[in-house]
Amino acid sequence: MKTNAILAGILIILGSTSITFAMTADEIMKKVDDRDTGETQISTATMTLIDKKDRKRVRKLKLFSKEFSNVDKSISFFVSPTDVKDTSFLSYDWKDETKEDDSWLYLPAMQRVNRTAAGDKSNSWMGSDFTFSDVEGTELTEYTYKIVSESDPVDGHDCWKIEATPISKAIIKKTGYLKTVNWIRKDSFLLVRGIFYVKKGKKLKYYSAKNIEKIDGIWTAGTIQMVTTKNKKVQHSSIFSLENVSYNKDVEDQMFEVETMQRGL
Amino acid sequence: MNSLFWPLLLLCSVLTTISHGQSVDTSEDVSFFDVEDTETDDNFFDIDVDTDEETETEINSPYSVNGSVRQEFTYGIANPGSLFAREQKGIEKIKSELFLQLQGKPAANLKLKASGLVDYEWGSWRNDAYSLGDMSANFELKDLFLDLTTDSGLWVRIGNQILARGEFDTIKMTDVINPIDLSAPAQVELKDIRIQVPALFLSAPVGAVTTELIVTHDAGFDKFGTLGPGSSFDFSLLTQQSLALLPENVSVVSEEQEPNKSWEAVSRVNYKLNGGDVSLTFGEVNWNQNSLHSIKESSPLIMEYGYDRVKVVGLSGNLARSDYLFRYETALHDGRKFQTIDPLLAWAEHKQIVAAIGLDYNGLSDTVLSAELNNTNIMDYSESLVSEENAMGYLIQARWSGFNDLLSIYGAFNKLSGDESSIANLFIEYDLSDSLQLDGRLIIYDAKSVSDLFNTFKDQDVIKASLKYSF
Repeated sequence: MKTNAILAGILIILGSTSITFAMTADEIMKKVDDRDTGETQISTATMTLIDKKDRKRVRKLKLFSKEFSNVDKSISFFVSPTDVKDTSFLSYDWKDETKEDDSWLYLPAMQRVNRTAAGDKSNSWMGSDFTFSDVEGTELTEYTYKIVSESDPVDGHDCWKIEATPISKAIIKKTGYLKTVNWIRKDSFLLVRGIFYVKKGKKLKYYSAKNIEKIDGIWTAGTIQMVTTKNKKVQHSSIFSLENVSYNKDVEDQMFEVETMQRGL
Repeated sequence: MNSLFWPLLLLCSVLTTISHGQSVDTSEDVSFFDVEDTETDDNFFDIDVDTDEETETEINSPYSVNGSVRQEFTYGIANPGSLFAREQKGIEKIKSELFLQLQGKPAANLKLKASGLVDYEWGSWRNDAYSLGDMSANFELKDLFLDLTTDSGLWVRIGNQILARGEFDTIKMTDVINPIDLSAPAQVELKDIRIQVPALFLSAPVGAVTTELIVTHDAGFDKFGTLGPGSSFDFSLLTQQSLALLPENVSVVSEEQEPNKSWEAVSRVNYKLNGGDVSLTFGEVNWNQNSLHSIKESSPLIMEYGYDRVKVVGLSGNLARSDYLFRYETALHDGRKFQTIDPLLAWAEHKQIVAAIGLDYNGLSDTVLSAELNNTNIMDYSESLVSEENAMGYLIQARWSGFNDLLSIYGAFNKLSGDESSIANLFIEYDLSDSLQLDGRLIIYDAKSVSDLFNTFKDQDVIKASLKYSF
């Protein structure tokens, strides 16, 4: 389940149609993994973080990604609020699975780019309910898949309900999830709902995708949300809304260099 | 004051351990989750938020102005003694700060940035107490530069700027461009540690590498505290203490010479590869701290201080593997002068090799643990030098962020190279909202003997609290 970084993996999927009969869980998830996310993507995003007292924090970002022959590169720039403005994150997701991803973080306070270790991908991504493993994606081969239901509609769209179980303790440690249950829309192979069983703190996270539409011929979820709960009570939630999404526009290779992080947008 | 620091660092460690403890729960099954009960549409929470339709307009606007207002309180928790304005425990400083920044993009390949800081200290220590009044505001220009880029990847930045390089901040190796603010070690805000310099910066990709050329003019020197209201780190006290060792019939005056050359130049070659980065550095700079260049035979003796012209060759880089980030850096400094034991002798020139290694561990939940070790070696060593031939220092630090990044806790212990001086630091930051930030800090200085660098300042321990509003 290798994906482009910056949520592309859980946001976007090519509308592959009519191959919806008698597929195994592995085949379905392979379709999800093989989706076309465009050679390039440009978008503006608003990330709203809401705590259990309903206090909101809002972060605005500009996102760019580009698919190269051997690597997917992505870069995100925080535009607001002021205390994180100009912070940027660059990552290279190598198609050769033996290569670890590369990533760099630019902190404007230090005016220096620092390489970051792959680290614990179960950590929160920029303070949100999404983790680095949600954002950067995991390998398809790291899970075993089982169809729980052949037909379980979500918002009027027929879906497969598929359970994904990590193949090892190492994967559980890396992602922080004991297992996930996923609703995959049959008409678009888009993940529209998910329940994530979080090992730390025995929490449940509920994922859902909304405002789904085709942009430049590519299925895109305009809004995704992740809600963290414990004992059926909401602890924190994150809503990620995309605006001005465009695919396959020209993005210069130079965009994905550490010098661009230092210069800023 | 170490007795205060260690329990707090322990608290930081406990928080980290608790966090880690949860993450290594050995429970393998998911029986504690009632899977069937949780699968209702209501669980998927249809949360609506107001989407700001102005987002794209704001982001694409060619100019932006932002800044912050910060109110800071500093309280001394030890008795520094009669050498300082504040001799005993009490309020050290009340400071207000306004930071403003303008960024613009007048053309697709042209950017500009200008920023400045105005601070105001509300009072000073007078007559055994902190008193308000009789203070003035200070303005400090920060960034002021133009960026020009070309389609070929050439990047030119000209103006007042920071050029932070290298992998370590505890000891100077290849990061030799910007002077450092040492007016209150470990107390200065991150964004203010390096001092901007007027420079021309060129960066260009050449094949697989990126080359950089930096030329500065009149770049200035490290900033030290001076005697005066509220000042606690007047390093000229060390010189005075050294001169006090002179025979009674010898009197001296000090003169400071400007560097012979006002320009400095550094070039770098950076190579980025899967799992690591490597940089080579070559430079010729004015060292940012002065040294005793000569003593003129006269009455009184004239001690002429100047700034060493130093050639720098260095290597720095990192290797990222799984949860670990290994960092390394080394440099040869040719042209530095080192203090001699005899205060009536000019300092002696020696080559010096400085090296450091560091390891960051990212494998614990929301936590980064880090350890650094540094070493300085004076070549062709002479027993007449004050400094040791080989000196070691180290830094250990831990940073934890939790509650969706609302709360951050940072603890560090830095044993300085060359003697038994150390600085311990505990920092807690809480985001009250997107625009309001509250932080607290405990800083403890220590030294073991009178010859240690921080012996004079070992009782400048403080707690600080600040509230920052960003806009």
